[in-house]
Amino acid sequence: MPCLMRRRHTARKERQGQDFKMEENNEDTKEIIRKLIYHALAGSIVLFEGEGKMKKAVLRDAIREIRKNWKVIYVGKKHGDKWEIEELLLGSNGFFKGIIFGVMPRERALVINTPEAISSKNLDRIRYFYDENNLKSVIIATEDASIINKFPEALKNRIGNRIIKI
Amino acid sequence: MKIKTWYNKIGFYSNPFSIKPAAFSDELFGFEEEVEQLTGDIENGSFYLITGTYGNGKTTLLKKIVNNLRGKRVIYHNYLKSNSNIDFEELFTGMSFMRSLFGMMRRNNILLLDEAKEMGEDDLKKINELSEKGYIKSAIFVSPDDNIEMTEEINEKIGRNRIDLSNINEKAAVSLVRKRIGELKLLSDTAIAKIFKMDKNPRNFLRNCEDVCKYAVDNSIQKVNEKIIEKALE
Repeated sequence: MPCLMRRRHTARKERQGQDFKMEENNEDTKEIIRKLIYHALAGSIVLFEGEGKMKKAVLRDAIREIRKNWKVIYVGKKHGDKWEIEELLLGSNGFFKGIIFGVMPRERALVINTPEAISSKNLDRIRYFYDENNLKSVIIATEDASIINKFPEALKNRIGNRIIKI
Repeated sequence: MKIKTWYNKIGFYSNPFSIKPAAFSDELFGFEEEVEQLTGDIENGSFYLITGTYGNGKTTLLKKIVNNLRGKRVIYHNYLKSNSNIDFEELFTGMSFMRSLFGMMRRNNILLLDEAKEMGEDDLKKINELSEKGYIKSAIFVSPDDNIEMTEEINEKIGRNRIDLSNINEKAAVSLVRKRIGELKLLSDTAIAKIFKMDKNPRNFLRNCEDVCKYAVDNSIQKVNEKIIEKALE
């Protein structure tokens, strides 16, 4: 057990080291994180294109900052394609308020890391909850920005020119 | 990494150019005539189909009508919210215990149906049936285009009551921005008109205004001119 804890501690330290390195050395990455955070704060729907570790690192840093303002709902690979935005929103409002009484939260930030797995119905619902301000902002992270062509027209229109590429 | 947004820097709490429908309540510019006509006709009982491309203000128009008809039996439904058909009985019975006990439905309901393209044939038939019985007085169907499948009866009821929302005009665009940012010197009326000329779709126009203001504030520019607009939107 202590060995496992030490390993975790070391891993965390290494991660922190990576953050530090990134923040110190890479101005471009910093600018991208700043843009992502800005759009999340300003209440936009953003498409973010990046690859592998870099995408992950940028998202992590951006989420950390956005969390200071709003609760963040993160949809990653582990959610697969069987998630419902309504359930996630209700879940984010706590057990009693959200799940028992069905009260919709206000101003959540949604980060989707696997847009390939979103159904078009879910995409439409995301638009609805965004318009109703249940979702303050949405970040859709992908490895290929051309995925936007598969999105419904109305969502594409809301994204507009808010496409950020590493 | 602490970020202070451009609108925080000039004293706004949130983004004044939010593109969400009716982000600032009771705000609709350029469609005053349509709203007046719709509000009057709907009160007297009629069916309408409203179309318009994305970002032209269809949902905002509906929200304005909801606001105008406060106190009446107005029901707003967005078909994106749920997959299933509308349970009209439950909707018209309301929360009243006695009504639900005896299954008494309220009459003269006004239905505002957003994203009506998603609605099923069952709902259309039910709307027609309930309207014949006097439970539905009026209905507005909203869709991005008129390529929407309606039953013959509903089509007949709509008849020539079709409104196509086009882009707003320059005067309305200036009023829209002025309502949101007040008399802020950063953007003059001429600058707003110039931004509007670049894209007349209200949603894109607001987004362009945001980009121009962000660029100006981030670069400590006191007043936006033509060159700055071009640079910010290039």
